[in-house]
Amino acid sequence: MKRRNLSWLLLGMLLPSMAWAEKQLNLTKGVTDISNEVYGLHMTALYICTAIGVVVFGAMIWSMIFHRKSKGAKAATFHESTKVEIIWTVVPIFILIGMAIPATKTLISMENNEDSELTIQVTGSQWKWHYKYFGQDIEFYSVLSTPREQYENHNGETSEKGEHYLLEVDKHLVIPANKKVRFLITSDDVIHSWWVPDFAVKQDANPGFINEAWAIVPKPGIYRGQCAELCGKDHGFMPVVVEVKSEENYAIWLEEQHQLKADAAAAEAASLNATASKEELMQLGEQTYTAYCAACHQPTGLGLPPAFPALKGTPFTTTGSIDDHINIVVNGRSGTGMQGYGKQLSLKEIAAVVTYERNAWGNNTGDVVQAADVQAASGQSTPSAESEVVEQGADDLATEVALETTEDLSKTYSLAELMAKGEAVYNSSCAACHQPTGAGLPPAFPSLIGSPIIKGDVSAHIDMVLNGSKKNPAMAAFKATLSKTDIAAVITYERNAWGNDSGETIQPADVDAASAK
Amino acid sequence: MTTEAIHDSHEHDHHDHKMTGIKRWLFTTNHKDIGTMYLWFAFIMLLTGGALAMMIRVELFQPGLQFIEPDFFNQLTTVHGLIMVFGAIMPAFTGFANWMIPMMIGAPDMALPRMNNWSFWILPFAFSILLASFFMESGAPNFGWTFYAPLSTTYSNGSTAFFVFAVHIMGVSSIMGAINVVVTIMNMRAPGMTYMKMPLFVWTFFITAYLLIAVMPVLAGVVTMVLTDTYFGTSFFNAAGGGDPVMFQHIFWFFGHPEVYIMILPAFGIVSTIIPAFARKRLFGYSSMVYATASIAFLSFIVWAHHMFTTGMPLFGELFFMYCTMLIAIPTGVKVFNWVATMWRGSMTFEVPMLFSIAFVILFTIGGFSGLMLALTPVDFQYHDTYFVVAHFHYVLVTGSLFSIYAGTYYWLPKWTGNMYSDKLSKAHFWCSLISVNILFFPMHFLGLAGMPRRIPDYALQFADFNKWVSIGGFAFGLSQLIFLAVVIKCIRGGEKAEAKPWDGAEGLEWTVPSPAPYHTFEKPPKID
Repeated sequence: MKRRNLSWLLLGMLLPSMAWAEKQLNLTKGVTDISNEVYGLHMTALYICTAIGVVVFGAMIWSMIFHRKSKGAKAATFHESTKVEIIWTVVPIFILIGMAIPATKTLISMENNEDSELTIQVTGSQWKWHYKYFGQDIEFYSVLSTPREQYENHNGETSEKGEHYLLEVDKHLVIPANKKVRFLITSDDVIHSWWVPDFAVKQDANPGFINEAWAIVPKPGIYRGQCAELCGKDHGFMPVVVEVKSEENYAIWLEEQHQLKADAAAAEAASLNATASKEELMQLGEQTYTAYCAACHQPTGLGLPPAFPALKGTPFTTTGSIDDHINIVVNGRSGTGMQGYGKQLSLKEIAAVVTYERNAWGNNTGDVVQAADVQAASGQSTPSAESEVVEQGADDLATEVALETTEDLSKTYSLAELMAKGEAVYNSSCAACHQPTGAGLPPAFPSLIGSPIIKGDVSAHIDMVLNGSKKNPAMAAFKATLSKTDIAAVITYERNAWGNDSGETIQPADVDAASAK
Repeated sequence: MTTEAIHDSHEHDHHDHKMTGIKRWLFTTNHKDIGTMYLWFAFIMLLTGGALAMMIRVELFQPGLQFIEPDFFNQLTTVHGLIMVFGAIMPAFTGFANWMIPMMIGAPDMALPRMNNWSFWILPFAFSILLASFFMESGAPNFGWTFYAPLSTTYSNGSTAFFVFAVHIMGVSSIMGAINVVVTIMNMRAPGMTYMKMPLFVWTFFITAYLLIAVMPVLAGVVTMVLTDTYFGTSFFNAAGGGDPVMFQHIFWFFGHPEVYIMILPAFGIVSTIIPAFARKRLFGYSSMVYATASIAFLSFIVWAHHMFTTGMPLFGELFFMYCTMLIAIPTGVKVFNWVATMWRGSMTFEVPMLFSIAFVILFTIGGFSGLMLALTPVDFQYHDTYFVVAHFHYVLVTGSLFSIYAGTYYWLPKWTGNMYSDKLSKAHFWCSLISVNILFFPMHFLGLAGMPRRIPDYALQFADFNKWVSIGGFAFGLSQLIFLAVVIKCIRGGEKAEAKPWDGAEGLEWTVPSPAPYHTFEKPPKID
């Protein structure tokens, strides 16, 4: 700290009462080997800078004291010296090389992402983190758990702030100690940055791209960090909390998570047949609203227009269609801050929050929405509900299921038949984006004329139409909306129209085989 | 070319009477008038940007959200940054260029006086557009002065168009100003003034002008891409449409890194003029100073990605940018050593310009040390986007650039106004600024090391004490600048008459003309041996 001499001394003299001992003045040393190396580099750089500072500032202060006119100093006449200039160019080069060598070594080991024992996908979204354990079927969101009244002090009211104020979340990311854990970091919307100072890990979460980082943490404990890249309104309110457990405790935790997941699925199935009272829904709805919606739409329902519209007394929450309302809550609205909550909330919670929004703040529509309504309105986009489709008998889905079962998948069609049917299907389901000419509207909607998918392997093409694109969200999955015969026809059409002329015919049985995989 | 310039200036003799009232300022093509307007504009913007900073510091005074909504907080940080960079520091240096370059090279005016008028007068419109967005439904830009996509495109609050057009106008103004500097220096030097006889001040502005011409079009390009991504459905920075949000950062910082040298090289020029004057000793290593400036300018083009170490660059990229960034320490070190060597065995007095220059050397060097630490990629993973970075760039921009601007103003104010300013008041300004600026920015180093991220409206409890001191320092520093205003106004209104050369150690052509400098100077070029 010596080089901070002047200003620091002044500051120290001004504030004699401050208790410095409790304050963290220096970089976090952290708990991993890498973070210790980083700390070492930081200290080396600090000492070198301090030493240079002492020499340079010392020379300045010396000359300010002794070479002043009031002391009768006469100015010398020298104004250049090649020898001296070479010295103070070359010496710093060696100092820099001395710093660059250990920095390079540390950097190389930081960038070695191989041989990991556990991989976790970390996805940032406004303003929470989502963690997905590869090969474990466990995924969850991790949201700030500091109560709003602790940080909303606008009216002069202050409530006691907790020990981990703004650095606490509802669900910790849990990882095992002493294992190389690899983090695959990405984003759903804007750029975030996942930072845990104790691991010396900070990586940007870029939408559409995946970054890698890793940590081997020897010591069980709870480690806290924050989002480090400005990501909009609540950038300051999306902490990262990592809980490191010993291997045995980690195994127990995994077991618990699987059990919780099974319970949740059972509760979800039960909620579909149950009819909840309006009071119950309103109560649950208020809780859910406060936790998930109030940050933007505000506890008063007045929102923060124009980015976050009001929900109080607007057509959308009063006279508008309930199905549209459910749909926006489940799927979000693209191009805005409104994200889809289908993956985060249960059907019952969505039903409750929609009920709440339509009845709170004087909206008083009297509408009561049940879990089954949510499923009916949102269709297959609630993944946990898929298995219940047939028993549930929701009208629109039932017709599709019926349609599917009446298909004769073993029938073989001629090229001409498939082309005729395929053209009709293409015009109704694909042409809006890929255009009737097949030329598309690049880059969002690629051309189908001679494209890699069209010219490539048929199975990739079938997969694309059935399941949509993993890279480009604009390419939807069609397995729920088109029959297998339709899909076979449209793929045949795409591979033969507009001069593609592959001569291939794809039969319903091919699609059936591919979708069974 | 020089003879042509002489010829021109003779023709101008026929109508050198100036207009009066507002028309004098609206239609002026006189480099001194335009320089004065640039300096006043920059000072008004400094106070505006400072007011925004005060609001930020009020909210950060204690934990919890007391006064300001998080979204408005982001608008404050964004506009504070934009105003200080494009509205305060850059126009202030252009003001110095206008006032001093013709007088230092013995030219009658800038080479392109009408363009000079225009490049100033579009600036107020740019900042009116930017500031007006505060009063609109969308609010002001809230995506940081670095406007990273897609926060500034798909997820913007609707202020992107105002922001983009404002930046376009600032860019046009800067490019015109820079072309004027280059053309003036290349064509209008007095006979006998070779390049290596030019004052170092002129050299630094010459090199800065080239940097501006090189990178302002890049900024114009990237804001235009942001505009079309937001409103016209392109996907330059949208991964879903085949674009890349990280490409935004590459283009932005290809502008942004040379930009930081645009804001510091002229400061080197000013300080290199003042230190020899008050040490009564020639500048040590003039030619190595010129080469160091040119090397810094060159290196500034190949280090941009050190702002982006955490974006997921490949190892090779990280190493390349780390090594290049560390290299900048060498020419910068040469400059600092040269200043110290200039002071060494001089015969120093400590008038206010000298005090600000010495504070500049020490505090800019501290900013340079933290810059060197930030260059080390593995440690940058910890420092990046924390208050450590905020401390670093405020040390180089406030105690660096802004202090040099104050030093320069106090140095040439007698020449500009013809009066000496109050020694007591100006020293009060210096000491209040020096102490408060360190209370303001020094604890930010500790906040950053302890883990406080930038651009957050509320923070965890362990950061509370330092934030309180930072805020107190901020208010004190802000108020101290009003002393400066008082000094300047008093000095314009009167005071002890200044001699043609009020500093006995000063050198240069500007001191050969009377104080205040007549409206037209060097209509006949001086002869330089």
